[in-house]
Amino acid sequence: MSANYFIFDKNKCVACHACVLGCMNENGFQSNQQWRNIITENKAKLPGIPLFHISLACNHCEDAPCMKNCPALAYNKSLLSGAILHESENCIGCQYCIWQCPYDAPKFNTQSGVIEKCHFCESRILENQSPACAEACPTDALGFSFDDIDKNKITPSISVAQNPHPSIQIKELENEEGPEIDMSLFEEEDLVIEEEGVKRVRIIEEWPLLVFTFIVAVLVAFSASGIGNQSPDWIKWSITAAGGIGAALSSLHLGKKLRMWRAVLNIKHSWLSREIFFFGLYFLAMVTDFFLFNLNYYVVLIPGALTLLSIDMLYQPVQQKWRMPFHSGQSIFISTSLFLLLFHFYWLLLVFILIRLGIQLYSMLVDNPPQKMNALILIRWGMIDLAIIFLFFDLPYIFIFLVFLLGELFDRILFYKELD
Amino acid sequence: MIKTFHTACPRNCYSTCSFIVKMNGQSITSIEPQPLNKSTSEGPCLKGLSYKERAQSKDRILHPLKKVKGKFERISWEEALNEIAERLINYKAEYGSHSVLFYAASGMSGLLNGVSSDFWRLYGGTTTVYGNLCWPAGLEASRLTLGENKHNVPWDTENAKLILLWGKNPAESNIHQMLPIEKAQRKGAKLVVIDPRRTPSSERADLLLQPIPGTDGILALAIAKIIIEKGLHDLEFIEKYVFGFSEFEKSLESLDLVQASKECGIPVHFIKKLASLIGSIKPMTLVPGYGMQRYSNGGQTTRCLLALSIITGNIGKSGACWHYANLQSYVFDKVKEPVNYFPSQFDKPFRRAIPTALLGEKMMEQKNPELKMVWIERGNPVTQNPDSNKTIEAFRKLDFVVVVEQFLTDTAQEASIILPAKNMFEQTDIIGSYWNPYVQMKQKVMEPAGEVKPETEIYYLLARKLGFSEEVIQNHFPENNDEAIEKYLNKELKVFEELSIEKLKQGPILAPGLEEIAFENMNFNTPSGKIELFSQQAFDKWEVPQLPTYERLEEGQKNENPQFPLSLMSPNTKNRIHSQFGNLESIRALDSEPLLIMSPKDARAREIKQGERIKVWNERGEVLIKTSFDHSLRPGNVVMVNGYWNSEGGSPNLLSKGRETDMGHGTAFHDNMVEVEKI
Repeated sequence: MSANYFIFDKNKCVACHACVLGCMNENGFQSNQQWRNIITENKAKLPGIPLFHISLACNHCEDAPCMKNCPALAYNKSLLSGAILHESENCIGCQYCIWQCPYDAPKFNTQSGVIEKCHFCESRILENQSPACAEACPTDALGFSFDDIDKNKITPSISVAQNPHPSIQIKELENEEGPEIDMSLFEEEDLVIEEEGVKRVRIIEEWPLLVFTFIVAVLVAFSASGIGNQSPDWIKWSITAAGGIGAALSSLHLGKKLRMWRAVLNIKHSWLSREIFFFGLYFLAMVTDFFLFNLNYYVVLIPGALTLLSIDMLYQPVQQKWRMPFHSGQSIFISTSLFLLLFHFYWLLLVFILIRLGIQLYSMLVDNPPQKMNALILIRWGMIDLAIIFLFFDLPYIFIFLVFLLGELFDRILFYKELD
Repeated sequence: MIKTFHTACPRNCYSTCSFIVKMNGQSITSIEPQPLNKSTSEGPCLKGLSYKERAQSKDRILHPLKKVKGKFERISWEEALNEIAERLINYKAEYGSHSVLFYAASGMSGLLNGVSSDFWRLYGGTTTVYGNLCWPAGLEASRLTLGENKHNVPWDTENAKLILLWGKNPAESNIHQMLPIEKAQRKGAKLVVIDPRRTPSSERADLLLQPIPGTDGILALAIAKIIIEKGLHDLEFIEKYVFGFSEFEKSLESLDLVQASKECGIPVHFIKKLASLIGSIKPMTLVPGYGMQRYSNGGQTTRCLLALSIITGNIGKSGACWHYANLQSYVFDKVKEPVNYFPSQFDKPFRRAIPTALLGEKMMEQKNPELKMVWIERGNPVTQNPDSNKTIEAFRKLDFVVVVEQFLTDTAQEASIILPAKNMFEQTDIIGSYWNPYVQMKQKVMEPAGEVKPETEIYYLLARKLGFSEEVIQNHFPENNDEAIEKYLNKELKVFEELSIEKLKQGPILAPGLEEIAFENMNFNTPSGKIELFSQQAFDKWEVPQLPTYERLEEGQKNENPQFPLSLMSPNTKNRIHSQFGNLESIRALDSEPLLIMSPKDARAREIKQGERIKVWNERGEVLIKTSFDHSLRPGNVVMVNGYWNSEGGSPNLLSKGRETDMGHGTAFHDNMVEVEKI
């Protein structure tokens, strides 16, 4: 089978945006976000540093992470053209694919509540025409080939952890220096700029997920510490209510709430499907244990622990930009610490907390969190310190627990903040 | 059923792209490249592509509007034309026909525009404007020196070994020129860009020099001096074809390199570097921009630059070219630009003309008769002529303003009556290009939207209402049907064997008599028959020195002006042709508000932050606008792009001064000093 792919020449692109207009002419005006975008390296035009552009939409990867990870199986690969196609009627609007895609191809349409994206102009390809964007390029920078290509040989120009074998061949700059200029025109302060990362997760927008994942971590800690059939009713009801609220909140995040059931369709590949599946199982087991009949401790705990594992795995693609692969605020760490506190394993807790502090300090060292975060970090560790002091002075356990819990919540907030 | 049409873009743009439109009934299904035009074979720019939206824009004016108590109300054509006709008759009877100003600009080119001037001539003549906003100083400089304005075909640029983009940014203003430039670079050519800004065209260049605006003349003269001193000039070429070289050489004796370097802000070693490139690499194509000549010294600056092409023998050969303007496809014009802009060329009915450079000011100065009415078509003078505030003031002093427009522009807002204008798809016309060498047809592909009437029909109906004789109407005003329009166009086409309606419907046709390599036969239509470095005409006609000289700007950074220390640049962007296109949804998605681009150095001195809303002002006006930092912009300059409407946040002409260039009756509205302040 012949494979179709984009050809992009960095030497020729001047960011004229004809490809973006060509796409809109073919596929309609894209009111929220354009499917195709021009990414500019050195947008601030720092003197002495080369500036170039890449025109990117979907690269229709061989191992498309969006498709693999979509919990609702809304993506499929066309055997006719190799296009990765998104079916909006199957999309639940969870936006997980946006996190997964290294090229920022899926776009969330806030009006329709679902993802939309480039479909390779498949109908044109099948008529032997280039996609509209490639046809529109007036400088011959963005082209298209119907020939076979060994996708293993393509080095994606944008650094991605795992090469998903995109259908794009990028011709690198021949002159990587940029023009010679008179640097004496500029002062030293003109030569630097604060780096702006690509924003994918925003704590404000994603607060329901934050609350949900935190609640799950707390619940699993309770389950691990032995709360069950025999516990007082008020505890059982409170925990059930918290779980219910958490689940309801997490569905707020979906663009298409009525299609929520589709979220478990991709257990085979998607950590999001697994998260929802295991949480459902865990919640069912817990409620059965609470109110119907006594279940084995591990029957409840194992799906709970698997939910936490799924949650942490889910955020892996967004974490990839960090050099430190762990975060102190991961849900498994939070849950384990709370369990140790609830189980009164204080010495073990202290060791565990110190390990987390180490992770925190190391990541500050290698990943340099922005200044604003320092206040949050102080509060977070201040709370833990306070809890330890309370413990030392033998204050009522409920105080200790609440202060500690608050500290953990701040750590979870930190986790989300640093994903920004 | 999908129908295919070959058409071309009639905007005031170098590229003048050919493209293919596919229609399904009355709607455009696609806009595709037309490979037959060798200059634009890869297809139109984003604006060309945006025609799909523009043709069907929901903001289009589709019927006549009349302003009643400050608001526009829909009226019928009958009502609109009756009122206009009545007023035209009354003004003429009471004050004379010159109390009416006819103003047309470059919004849509085509032979049918001749119908407009015929109408106003037959009305008895009107006040009109002379000069031009765009390019006359450079045209006149080239005409005085070379005899006419023409250059090699665009695809010949790929044969150059040295390309100088001097004040031109084709990546935004003429994107199709980037193709031959890139091809030349792949064949080993060097690319040098000279611009105070680091433009998109400079990113792949070998060298970017950033002079102080308006000082390009002295930079060129300094380079010329070095070339001549080192003996790198082409003596054989000069002896055969150049008039006045020895005078030119002598005039450079007094030029001091260190002084020159200080004046233009380019270090001596960079001037020497560029001189050695120009002196040693052949052939060289020098591409000057138009922005650089919209200064009070624009004509003389252009002559200084052109001198570099002349002394190195880079004229009349493949790859060797002075690439300013190519009027070879303007085959229908009896008198070509810039001469047809000169008031001395105007016939008697249009004997009263005011400079477009000083539109607002001069409108208000007119006496005997005073102006009572203005008719505006194909233009948006409120936004695009210098000193917007004066233009608005002048309009508001009038009795009656008619604007023929597609959209509610700043100028249309000032109208008493707006007549809906046709778009490029609604009437067939013939166009040339000032860059590519083709005669093209802009084809009618759809019926006019709503109640839109093409200008030819508006004039036809008005002529009847004004009681023009049947014979006059028959001779000058085509009826509103496709046959009549084609018949009118055919009158012009039939002079040329190569051209016909049928052939042009199939695609672009190379201009009859085209010289692919301009001046190849070394004939120069100047008084001496040679290339004139020394031009007596320049002195006789414009009172400038006979030789290319550097003159300081009237404003400019080199004049001490502590109140307004920053030069305001107002370049064109890829997103607009002057004030057109910016109102479209698809363009707004890319470029939604005007910004004041400044260097972080100038911002630091004023404690201004990136993205902060500030005031940019001078004695002519002020604009409140957000800042955006460009770390590579030469400090001392701020940039506000051309074309934003005042209603969209402010055009640079709120700050520009109405002033003519040193020659050609151009408009020197790029020479503006401003200050930026926190608010």
